[in-house]
Amino acid sequence: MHASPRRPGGARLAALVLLVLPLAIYSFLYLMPIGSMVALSVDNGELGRSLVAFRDADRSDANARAAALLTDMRAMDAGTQGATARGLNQNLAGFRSLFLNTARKSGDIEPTMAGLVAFDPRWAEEQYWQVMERNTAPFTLRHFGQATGLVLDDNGRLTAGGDDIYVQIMWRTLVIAVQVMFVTLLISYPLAYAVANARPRFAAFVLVAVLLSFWTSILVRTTAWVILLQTSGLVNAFLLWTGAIAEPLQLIFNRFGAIVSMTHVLLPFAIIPMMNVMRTIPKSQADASRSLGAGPIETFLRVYFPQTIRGVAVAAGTVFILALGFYITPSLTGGPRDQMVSFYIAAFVKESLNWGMASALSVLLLGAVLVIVAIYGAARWAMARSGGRA
Amino acid sequence: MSFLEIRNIDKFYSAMQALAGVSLSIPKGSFVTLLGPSGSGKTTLLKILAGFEGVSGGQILHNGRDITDLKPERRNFGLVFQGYALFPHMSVFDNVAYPLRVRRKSRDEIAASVTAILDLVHLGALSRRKPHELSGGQQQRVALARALVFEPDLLLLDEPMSALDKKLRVDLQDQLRDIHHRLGTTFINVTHDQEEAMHMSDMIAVMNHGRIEQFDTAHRLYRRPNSRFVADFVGKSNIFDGVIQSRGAAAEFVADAFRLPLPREAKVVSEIVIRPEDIRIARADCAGAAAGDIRLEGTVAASTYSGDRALYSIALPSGRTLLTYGSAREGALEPGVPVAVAFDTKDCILLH
Amino acid sequence: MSRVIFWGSVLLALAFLIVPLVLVLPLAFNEGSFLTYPMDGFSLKWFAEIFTHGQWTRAFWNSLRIAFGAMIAGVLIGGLAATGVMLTGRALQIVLTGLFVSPLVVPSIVVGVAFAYAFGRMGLSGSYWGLVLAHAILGAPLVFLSVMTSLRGLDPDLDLAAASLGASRSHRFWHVTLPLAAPGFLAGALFAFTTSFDEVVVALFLASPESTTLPVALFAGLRDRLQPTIVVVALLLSLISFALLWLMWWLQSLGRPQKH
Repeated sequence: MHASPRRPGGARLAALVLLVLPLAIYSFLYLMPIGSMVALSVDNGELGRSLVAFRDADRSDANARAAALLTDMRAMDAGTQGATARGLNQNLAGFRSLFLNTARKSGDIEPTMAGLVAFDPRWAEEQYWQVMERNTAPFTLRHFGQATGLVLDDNGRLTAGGDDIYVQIMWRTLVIAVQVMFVTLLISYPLAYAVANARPRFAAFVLVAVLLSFWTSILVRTTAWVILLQTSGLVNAFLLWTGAIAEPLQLIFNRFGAIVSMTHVLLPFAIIPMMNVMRTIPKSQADASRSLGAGPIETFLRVYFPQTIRGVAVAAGTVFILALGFYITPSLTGGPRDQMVSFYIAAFVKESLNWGMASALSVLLLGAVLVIVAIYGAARWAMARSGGRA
Repeated sequence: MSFLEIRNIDKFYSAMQALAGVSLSIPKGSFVTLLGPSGSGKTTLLKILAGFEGVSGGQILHNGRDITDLKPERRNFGLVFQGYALFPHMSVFDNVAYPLRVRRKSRDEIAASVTAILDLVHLGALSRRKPHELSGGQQQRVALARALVFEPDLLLLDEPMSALDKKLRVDLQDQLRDIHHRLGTTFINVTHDQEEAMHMSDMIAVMNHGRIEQFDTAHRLYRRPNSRFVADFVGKSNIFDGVIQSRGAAAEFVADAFRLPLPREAKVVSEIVIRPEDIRIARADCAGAAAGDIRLEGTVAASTYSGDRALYSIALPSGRTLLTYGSAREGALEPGVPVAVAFDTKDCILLH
Repeated sequence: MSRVIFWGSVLLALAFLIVPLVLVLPLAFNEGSFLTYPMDGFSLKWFAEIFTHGQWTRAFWNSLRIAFGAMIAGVLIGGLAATGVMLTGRALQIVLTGLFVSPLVVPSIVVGVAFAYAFGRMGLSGSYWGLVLAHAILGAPLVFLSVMTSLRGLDPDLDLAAASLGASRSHRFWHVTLPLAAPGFLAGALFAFTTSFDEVVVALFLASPESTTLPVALFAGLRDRLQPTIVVVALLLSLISFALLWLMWWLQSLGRPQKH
């Protein structure tokens, strides 16, 4: 099958038969969940579903709008009323009480604009109507607005000026990922070099150490660091014993702990691609450089290192992508000010049950990862096209 | 004192001895080839000369200076690698400029030297290409240019032709010979291809089992081999074992197929060698066509036709076979044809 | 000078890589309850505590059952996908490979949120099958890649040779290609098993208290309080990983003579 460049129709049929099950499972259990998560991030929740009559009402006819609103209110049960009021209150403070009070009495109020204003004079203010109008659509950018610090202005456009807490968190995520990437590359390069170039026995030993580390669960390796770095942990005990410090250092639940443990966990992911590239560089390259008059350091800088850049780039990309979405390790070894986007996503799901925000942040994280993957793919394609090996 | 003096080099890899007491004197400006089968130690010797391997014993002197422990980058020897070892991330120009950049030469000097040497190897037009865009022969010439551009005291070549096809190999051998003449640099070439060695070298060192069997000109290696190994390895040969029998004052070498009177001074002869081209051959029924001091009868066992001539393997009545060339103008002799072969005493090479 | 740089950096990096586990795991045998050296004496009491506590043993069996199911489902999905993709044209091959490998790139937290939401609506959340299917999706790309690698690595002449001997396309597939790709399937199966056995994030979102897995229990334990039992669980998890790595190495050494 793999051998024949001619593919008669039979192969296509066989491919179809073989691919039906995996494609069905992937679509149903993988693409659909991700799709529904993306949909969830722009879903307007109860607001989009409860104000149906209002949405269809003639906007120029104030009385018709008032009547439609009251119709919708009467159709809601208490729970839906509460959810809708909460949603409106997220847009405009004070709306909750206005909406709930009106809804409770919606059977008694005359279904005209005048009737509403008579019940509560606030209904005469245009801003409440605007908020409702903006939020009756089934889709909303509210969650993304909150995540990016952009707010919806009166015209429904996104402008800067909102709360930028999540922008700060995303920036922090980026910074930590870059920090971890650099430290990881720095530590993995010599190890990959040793696997590819040291004497066979030592190289095999390093390789076994790397593979053992790679196969040990991330959680186990994080556990080791928690135990090592805690205030009464091994590192502090050792430093106290040597007399280098008088008081235990705070090594964990801060940026130091997060970066050390993340680096350790991600080390094999950087070593393996670098090692694979280094193994393709013949030893005669370095010998050639030496015979041409370059010393070992100059040989490394001019001949060896440039040829390993491709491996370093793959390692950097892999580590960066993994670090961006890391949850387990930083949540166990970082402090409150070192938590990354993933931590808040988990918190929104597990604690505050705010699925909209969880999915909006997830979509942003996924988007960032896909952009990086696309850049790598494009770079690889361009390199393959130019025919360069390096 | 010669230009390069190799004195009594030993090299052990754990228990395995790769070189055993190798000594060589290499004259300045010569083209020397280390010839031997794989495992003979010729590549090890080259690596030691280049400085990539240390020695277990012995010395290397360059113009009288001991360079045995000198680092490779301090020797100023050029080296052309078997696989060329061109730097894939640099263009042809940058590859050739590399040794000059390392020596901190000025921009202008680099440009001038690189251009000159690329012209010498006929690659001036390709200087912007990357190595993988070149053919094997072109890559080899880049490697040569790179190893020569810094005017090394000595050029080492590690089987430089082994990756090329036959036709290209002969062309490049001529070019290499020509470059050697023009530059006057001392060349040391390593190969297992005896034709290449004989074609290019002034002197050939035949190596076997970590020793130098013979260090001589191509002609003397062929006509005056001093061991069975050299006779067998260099060119085709018929080697006869035998015993010496005295006949009064004279002695005779008695092989299974014939007797050979020995010259007076040759008292200890273990084997004699006859080159196939020294043996004449004719159909047995064509009397007198194969004349010579020693005449034998046999039948053609096999023939290999190669256009200009045919190589025959002749079965002698004693059971052994003899190699000889014959003219193939009228077509080769068929296997089974009875033939007469003859050679002269003076063409017999005596091994001691 | 260059040697000093080499050995200095390699030994430091190597120490960073191996010292944490080498130092911490032996603490599982510590008599006392402080996780530090010098140890108070050798003891297996924390092991006994693990095995008598229903919470840990139940989590262990859950993990094992889920990993086993996820391995079978993952091999099925990834193996079928790889063999099918090999039969398609070049362009489709690139697209489908991208699709089948993509779960490796998507951050696990994102997959976790998506599964938690979608599986919740399908009624799969918290169930055995929910976890098996979710982990199968995470393991399938690894099976896909290792089967793909071993199919690509096959000598094309073998197929031509079989064809020249008169074997039909399907006969060649079942009797030549698949047996030769078997090491790829086995390696993929091990990858899928480990992926599921060690997985935390998705399980954290999907598991109910009854179906909780060993890594989730360990994660909860770590957030709660550092106890020697945690080191014991970590030690047991790593021993299982090492056993699987050894198994992988053994299978590869079995597969090698076939190639040469």
